[in-house]
Amino acid sequence: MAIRYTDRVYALGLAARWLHLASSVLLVGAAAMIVIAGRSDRATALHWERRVLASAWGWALAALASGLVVIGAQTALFEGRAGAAFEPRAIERVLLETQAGHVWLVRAGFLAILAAFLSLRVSVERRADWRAARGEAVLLGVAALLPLAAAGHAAAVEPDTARAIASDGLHVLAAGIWVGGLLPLALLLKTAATEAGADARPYAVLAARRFSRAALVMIVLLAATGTVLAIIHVGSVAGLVGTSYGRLLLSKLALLALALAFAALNRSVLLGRLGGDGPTVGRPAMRRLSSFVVVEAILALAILIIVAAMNVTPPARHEPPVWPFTIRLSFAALEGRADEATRALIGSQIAVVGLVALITGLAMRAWRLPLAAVALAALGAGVGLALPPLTIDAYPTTYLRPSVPYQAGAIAAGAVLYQTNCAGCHGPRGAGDGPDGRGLPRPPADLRAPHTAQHTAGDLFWWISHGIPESGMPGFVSRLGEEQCWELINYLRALSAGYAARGMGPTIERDRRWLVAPDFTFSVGPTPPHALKDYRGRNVLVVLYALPGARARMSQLAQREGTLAMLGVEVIAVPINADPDAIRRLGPDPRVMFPVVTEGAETIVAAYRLFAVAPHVELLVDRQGYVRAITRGTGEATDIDALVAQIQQLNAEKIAAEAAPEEHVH
Amino acid sequence: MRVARRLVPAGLAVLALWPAAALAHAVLVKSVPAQRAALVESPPRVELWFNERLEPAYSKALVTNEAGTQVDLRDVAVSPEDSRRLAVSLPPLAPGRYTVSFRVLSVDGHVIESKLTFTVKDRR
Ligand code: HEC
Repeated sequence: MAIRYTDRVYALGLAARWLHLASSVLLVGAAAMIVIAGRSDRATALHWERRVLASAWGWALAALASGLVVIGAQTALFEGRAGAAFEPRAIERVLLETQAGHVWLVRAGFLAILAAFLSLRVSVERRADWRAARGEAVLLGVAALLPLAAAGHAAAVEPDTARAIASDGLHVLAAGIWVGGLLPLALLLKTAATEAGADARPYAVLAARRFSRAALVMIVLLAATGTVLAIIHVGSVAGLVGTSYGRLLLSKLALLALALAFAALNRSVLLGRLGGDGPTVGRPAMRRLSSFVVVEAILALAILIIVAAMNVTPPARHEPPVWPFTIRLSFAALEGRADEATRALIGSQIAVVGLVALITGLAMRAWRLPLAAVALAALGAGVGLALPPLTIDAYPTTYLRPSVPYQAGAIAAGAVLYQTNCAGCHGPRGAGDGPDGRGLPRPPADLRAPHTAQHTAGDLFWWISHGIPESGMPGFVSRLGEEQCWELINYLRALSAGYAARGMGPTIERDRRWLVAPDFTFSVGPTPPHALKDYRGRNVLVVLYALPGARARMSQLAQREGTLAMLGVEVIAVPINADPDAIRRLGPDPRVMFPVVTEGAETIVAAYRLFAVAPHVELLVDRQGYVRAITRGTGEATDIDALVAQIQQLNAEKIAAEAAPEEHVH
Repeated sequence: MRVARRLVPAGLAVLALWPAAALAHAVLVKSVPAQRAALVESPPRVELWFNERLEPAYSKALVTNEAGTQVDLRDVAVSPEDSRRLAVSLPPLAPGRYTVSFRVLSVDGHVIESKLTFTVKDRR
């Protein structure tokens, strides 16, 4: 019962938002429809105009009243107590101190002015006066509608906040002119179709034609801005089918398709039949068009319910998507399977031929049907051939984004978890050779292998949390928390990357960036902490050293610090034995100018040791955060010019657009 | 009675926006100290970065010790230069586990509420 109750309460709040949105939209549409239809001196037309103006006044009042409920609800939400909705002080604080409050004040102001303006009796005898008065009503309505965009999801988009707000603003405006114009149009057509309204018939036909043209433009605008907004707020197929926001959008699109089908029917069939100026010609069409337009309006208002729900739902981009299917498409599935790849290629070619034939068929008059049938058959066969090799297993968490970033701390924590939970089967080094793995239905996977490339981080998350029952891999969901699973995944990623990095030596390979340097934070003495990421745009030499073995090399680096700095290289020295006294121990001469990590060294060593094991390791990280060269040694002084040559080569590279990804992504 | 009867639906409508708070997903991008960090030095402040701009009036954070006592200097504020950053200063902290609890409001009207912990280690 409790759930029912909450549902009902939720529905009520939604109703207030919807009423507010709908009345704001209908208001703009009503005012705009008068301008679109133009001025007339026929009695019926004038009567219609007055009624539409009166309805606009009513919408303005409804928008103000429902706006009060909405701001009360928002106050309760912001304050975290339901009672705050009735406290003037709390509401005042929201109005004066939040962006949503400011937007509300501006909009309420315009609505009040508009309501006052509409209740005035202004003389519109002269054409110029009519234009000014009706134009002003439209402008005030638009001014009250547009700022909505600055209080919605678009306001929080970054970067490009302005673009998001502009798209959102145009989107509601276009919706306002289209949706809001429908009801006044239906009223005009209905009146003009009666005996008494005959004088307004030519006016109604003209108005319907003009509105139809305006609505077409608005729909194109809606589609364009809607696409931009969907990319901003949803951004992926998983977001579309796997989050509440995405599914709301899908239902919105379904209703929209229906509404547009009606609009297309109205435009292509009924609009043409309105013509003729005799008293009887076009009247039945006019009546039918009127009721069809009402249906279109009802569908559009239903869409606004969904929009209101979307307003209180976090955008898909910020939600963990739950993939609803057991398969997904992936080109990675083709790697190393030449025959399957050929099959997919042939299938896709057939499908493309089918698609082209289908389009040609639709464009042609003769042969349309047979051509379309053949085209459809080709399309179906092509898709049927191409898809199976491309599909791979998927899980609800497949597109989940890691909630723990790829950082040394998480990798080190994952390494500890791995040794206690997984090493028994997968082996202490991940080779799949643990003692507990013998006798399982399938041998434990070699976790160092690059096979993970086929799988998303979310796939690994599923296996680790739920296990792989058919092969004897247990699930850990009851033993480990979500965060610990992600730490393990970060460790597995570093493990397999490190395995692949065995071959990376001291010379860089031009433009080959693949080994992401896990980020880390470190402190040097009492200064505030730094992160490796803060050095993006500079090259970094991460030096894992141990004294006394590496004394010669460290002195050399300290002496040549200036040369390296000139080349845009920062040195970060990390004592392998995590010595809090490391700086003092390096001694005063030569003076060490680069950071020597005194806090956080253990985790850095634990993570970077996966990439190289030697008494002394130097990793050259490029300006975008990729490890490009690894030197393994014992710590004696070596030719620094060799290092300089590598750095010069790095500096000669063009910086690609993409910086190293912070998360575990494949 | 009449007034009450009218207030009840209004109150229900107000409650209706509750689910939005529950639905909102924590989008703390980064923190210093990091989640579950183990520090040798007591940090001078806690800084939290979010992926959206915050409303200063409704964005708060507090730091408590294991006993649940508030230990921060109660000067929590959204940074005027970067309105995605929330910071609160700390006095020198004794070794122990600390919890940072925050409740912030993003400019698009979503409330985010969560916690993180860090430890100040005993000096060797
Ligand atoms: C009881 C033995 C056992 C334990 C404990 C175990 N695994 Fe497994 N694991 C397996 C087996 C068996 C497979 C099966 C491989 C297959 O199906 O081909 C597997 C597969 C996997 C895979 C899939 C690899 C792939 O690409 O197919 C991952 C990832 C994995 N394990 C991670 C872990 C982690 C992380 C832990 C520790 C939290 C762990 N496993 C603990 C036995 C185990």
